[in-house]
This record gives sequence, C-alpha cells and structure tokens, in this order.
Amino acid sequence: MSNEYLELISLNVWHWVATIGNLLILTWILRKLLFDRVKKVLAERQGQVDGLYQEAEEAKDAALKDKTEYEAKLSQADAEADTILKKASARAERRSDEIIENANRKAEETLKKAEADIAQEKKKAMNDLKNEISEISVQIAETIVQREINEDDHRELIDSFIENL
Amino acid sequence: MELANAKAIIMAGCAIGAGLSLIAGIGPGIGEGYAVGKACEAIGRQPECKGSVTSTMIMGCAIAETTGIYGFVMGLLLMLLAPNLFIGKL
Amino acid sequence: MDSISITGAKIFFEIPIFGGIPITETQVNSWIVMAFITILCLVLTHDLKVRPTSKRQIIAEWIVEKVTGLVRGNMGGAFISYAPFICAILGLSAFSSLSALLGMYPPTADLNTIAGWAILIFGMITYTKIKTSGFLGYLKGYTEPFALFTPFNILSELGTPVSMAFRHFGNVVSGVVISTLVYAALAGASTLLFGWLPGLLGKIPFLQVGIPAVLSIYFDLFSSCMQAFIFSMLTMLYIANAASKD
Repeated sequence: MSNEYLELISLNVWHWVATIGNLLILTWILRKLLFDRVKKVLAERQGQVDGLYQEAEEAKDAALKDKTEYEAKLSQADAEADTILKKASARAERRSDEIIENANRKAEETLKKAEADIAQEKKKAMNDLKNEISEISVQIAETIVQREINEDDHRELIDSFIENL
Repeated sequence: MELANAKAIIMAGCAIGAGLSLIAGIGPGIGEGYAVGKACEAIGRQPECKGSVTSTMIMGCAIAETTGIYGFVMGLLLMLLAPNLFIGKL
Repeated sequence: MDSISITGAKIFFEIPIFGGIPITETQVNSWIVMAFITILCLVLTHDLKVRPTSKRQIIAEWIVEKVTGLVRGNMGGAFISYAPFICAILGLSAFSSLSALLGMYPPTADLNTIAGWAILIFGMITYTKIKTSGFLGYLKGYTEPFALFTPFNILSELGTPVSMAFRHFGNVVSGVVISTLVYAALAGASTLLFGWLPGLLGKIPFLQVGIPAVLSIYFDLFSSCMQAFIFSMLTMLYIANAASKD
C-alpha cells in the first residue's frame, strides 16, 4: 500500500467521472428502493380512503333517493285518496241522476199512455156518440117525416151533418 | 545562495499573501451581523414567527458566508500548496 | 510540537489505465457511504403495510413526503421526477460530511467529488435552459439587458457551479483543517503540561479528550447538514429559474 497523499486541492478528471457515476447510481437505487415502494403504499392508502369516501357518498345518495321516493309516494297517496273519493261521489251522483231520470221518464211514459188512453176513449166515446146520434136522428127523421126514408140518399146528408159536429 | 534567496522570497510571498487573503473575513462578519440584528428586530415585533425567521436567517447567513470561504480557501492554498508548486517551477 | 501534515486524501493504489487512475481514500469512503445509504433504504422499506405499525415505515414515509414537498414547492409540479435525484444529493452530501465524526476522511473534503456534482448540475441547468427557450434563445439570453453585458453574463454563468462547489468544499475542508490543527495543538499543550508524569502516563494526550468534541458539533454536525441542505436548495432554485425563462 503506497503511502502517498494527494494534495489538498487537486483536480483529476476521472474522479469527476467516477463521482458523477456514483451520484447517478445512488439516484437509481433510491428511486427503486425508497421512492417507488413508499409511493405504492401511499397510493394504496389513498385508494382505500377514496373508496371509503365513495361508499359513504353512494350510501348518502341512495338514502336521499329513497327519501324523495317515499315523499313522492306519500303525496301520491294523498292524491290517490282524493281521486278515489271524487270518483265515488261522482258515481253516486251519476247513479242518483240516472234513477231520477228513469223515474222522470217512467212518469212521462205513464202520462203519455194515460193521455193516449184518454184520447182513445174520447174517440171511442165520440164514435159511440156518433152512432147513437145517427140512429137517433134517423129515428127522429122517420118519425118527423113519417115516411120511409131512403137510407142511401140521406146517408150522405146525415154523414156530412155528423162530420160537421 | 541565489536559490536560497529565491526560495525565501517565494515562501515569504506565500505567507504574506495567505495573511492578506483572510481580510476577506470582514465582509461576512459585518453582513451577517446586520442580518442577525434585523432578524432580532423582526422577532421582537412578532414573537410567534420565531422559528421561520430563525431558519431563514441561518440559510441566508450560510449563503452570504461564501466570499469569506473563498478567502479562507485561498489562504489554505497559499500556505500548503503554493510553495511546492512555485519552487518546483523554479 | 510534533510535525503535522495537512494533506489531501491517501492514495491506495493506481489503476494502470489511461496513465494511472488513483484510487484514493475518497473513492473508498464514497463507496462505503453509498453502501450505508442502500442498507438504510432496505431496512426502512422492509415490510410496508397500508396501515403503518412500525416506526421505520413512518420514517420512510416522512422522508419521501418531505423531499417531494420540497421539490414540488420549489420547482413546481412539472419536475416531480427529480425527487430521487435531490434526495440522493442530500443523502450523499450529508452522510459524507458526517462520516468525519467517525474518524474517516470525508469524501466531500476532496474538491474532485464536489466538482463532479457541480459540473453535473451545471450541465442540467444548461440543458433545461436550452429545452425551454431553444438553442438560439439560450444564446440570446446572454445579451439580456443590452449587448455590452455579455461578458458579465458569461462570468456569472460560469461562476454558478464554481461558487456552489467552493461553498460546500470550503466549509467541509475548514472543518477538517481546524480539527487537525486543534488536535495537534492540544497534543503539544498536553505534552507541555503533563510531560513530567512518569513512564507511559506522560505520553497520553489528556487534553485531547472532550475539547475537540465541542468544536466538532459545529463543524461536523451543523455545518454538514446546513451545506447539504443549501446545496440541494440551490440546485432546485437554479433549475426552476432556468425552466421559467419565458
């Protein structure tokens, strides 16, 4: 082992090259051994924390959605009850209207029928009266004239007279 | 005899140069003293920023010390390296 | 007083290629420091879990987060891939200078180590400047306020790596030199004071115990950490400055 010493300040180009090489090798070692490993663990931890936050957000969103759904359903239930009520009362009204209409119609029909009956009775009575009057008139004429009437000749005269009744 | 005179003159010159080169120590002394005074003033005005002011002051002093270090290194060079260098060129 | 010699690193042997490359104490100590940092990394990242249970993992995460925070704060988000490089500079510089506490010759007390780093960083700064504003823009940047300023701009550009290197080297070398001088002085003083003790006791330098430790708190501990930190901060600031020219 030689026992020489370098001077205090000496310049040597190969030392510079060796030193730069040392520094770059140490950079590579630090990146592989320290920085990459620790960054991986930090990223994993961050991912877990993010996952937890995400889950909490999703649970909150789902709870909010459920709440709005329930509120909507509640207000819908009120509206449904209202409509049911309305429908029932409308139907009841319609039924009552129908019944009244029926009753009215029946009454009208009965009235019409009664009137038709009455008209028919009146006609029948008139016809009967006509017949009777014609018979009576013939008898009267027979007795007044005292002769035998030619029924056919005077039928027209009598008919026209009855028509004008 | 000539050589011994020349050597003596070289050694003397190196020694005197080394002594003169350390006059460069005045600059950082004054400058850093002033900086520390200003830092003390700042701490007196706002005592809760003591840590920040102290570390900034120390960093600034270490950078301002550079010219003083230049003088010291030149003194070392002249004392230890220069005689052999100059006498070898004789 | 005994004769002391303040010299550079010890040469171990020479590789006989390219006219002799000396393998010095600096190189060997550099390799030792690198091996130490590698073993430290392996121990710290041995068994990483998502929920940390061991202190080692907390220390490893603290280191990575601090360095990433520094890089992001000073250079912005675009340079986040430079974080391992800054961590390497910090670690090498601090641990090299701190190895003086163990009695080894610190690798950063050799100008070649620091000159190598400074040249690499100067190359990175120039490369970043050329990438930002193109080669012509880089050349035009030298004539920034007006054309007569060119020599000063060139001087200031060349002075950047020189000043960075000398600041770091000067602080560490001053520690080494002053420690050697203090040891020698204390040895001489203890021979003077205790030389009359009989036999072996007269030769033990009593005064060398404890007093240099007080000095080494400043020169070794504090100065090493400060200089490592300042070296890396200046690197980050210069590169960030070069990347934001326009």
